[in-house]
Amino acid sequence: MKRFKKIFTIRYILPLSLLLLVGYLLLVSLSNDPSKLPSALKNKPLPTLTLKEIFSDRPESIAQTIQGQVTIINIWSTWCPSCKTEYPLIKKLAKEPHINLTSIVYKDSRSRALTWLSKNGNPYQHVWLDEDGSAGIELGIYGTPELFIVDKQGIVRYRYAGAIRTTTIENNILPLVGQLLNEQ
Amino acid sequence: MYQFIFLLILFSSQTFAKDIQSEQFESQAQYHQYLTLTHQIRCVVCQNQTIADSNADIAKDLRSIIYKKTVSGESSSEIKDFLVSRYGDFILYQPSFNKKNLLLWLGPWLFLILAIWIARKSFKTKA
Repeated sequence: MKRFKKIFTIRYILPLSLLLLVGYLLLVSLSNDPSKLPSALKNKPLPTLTLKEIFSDRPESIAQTIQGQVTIINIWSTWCPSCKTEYPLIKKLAKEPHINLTSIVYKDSRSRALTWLSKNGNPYQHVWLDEDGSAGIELGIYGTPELFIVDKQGIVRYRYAGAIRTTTIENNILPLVGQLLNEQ
Repeated sequence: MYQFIFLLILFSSQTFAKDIQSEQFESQAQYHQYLTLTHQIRCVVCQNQTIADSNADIAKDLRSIIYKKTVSGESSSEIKDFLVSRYGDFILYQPSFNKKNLLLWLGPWLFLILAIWIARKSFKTKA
């Protein structure tokens, strides 16, 4: 009986458990959305970016401009449909207290961005222009829109890829900004 | 007609990496480094393609960054390190062998050893 049990375990139970394990791992990996990968920059300093400020048309160091403040950087472009979708929410976010909302216009022209902002309203404290997309690669972005939160020390603390939703603001952005504001 | 369409499809499959021509490099070694790298870096939005095979905007931008860095004299590993620091290990088409990826590399071998062990035990008990 004992021997039968051993044979049964080795011949059937063990391979079957392995098969189930592999199946389970495959099933889990199917539900992984590769576009939701965490940013490699999380908890690392914001890369050195010098971009033209769209209104003054002069180059500025982003890190220097936002130094000492909790800052949200939204990456957007006028040609991106999801950016249009999220725009009302971005404007709503800008109205929240203690929010320092800035943005980078990705792979777009100054004139198109200025037209867009005058037509739809400008919720941003600063708008920088990344005409050739090189700043986008420095930030490791996949496309637009993407949103980053940088703390007072200039460390990237959060990245959100895709159009934000009300729940993103309420559950992620506002609580984190609140927490970062209290940090020394 | 069908033959013509077939030939058209066959020859239209191209390597977009060759958008940047060899003449644009200072040496053949640099051109070779650029081509090799474009075949080792993943297109982050079309994930089963390398940036050499993809015509996506981000793939073009990544090729352009690799071109600029290659021409400015950066080595393959420096360029790879830069891209990994921005996009994570995921950007490498062939993942690197490190602590985090240990299971990925050794997992199949462990399974093979286990399978051989089970097979041997199973045959033994049969005999």
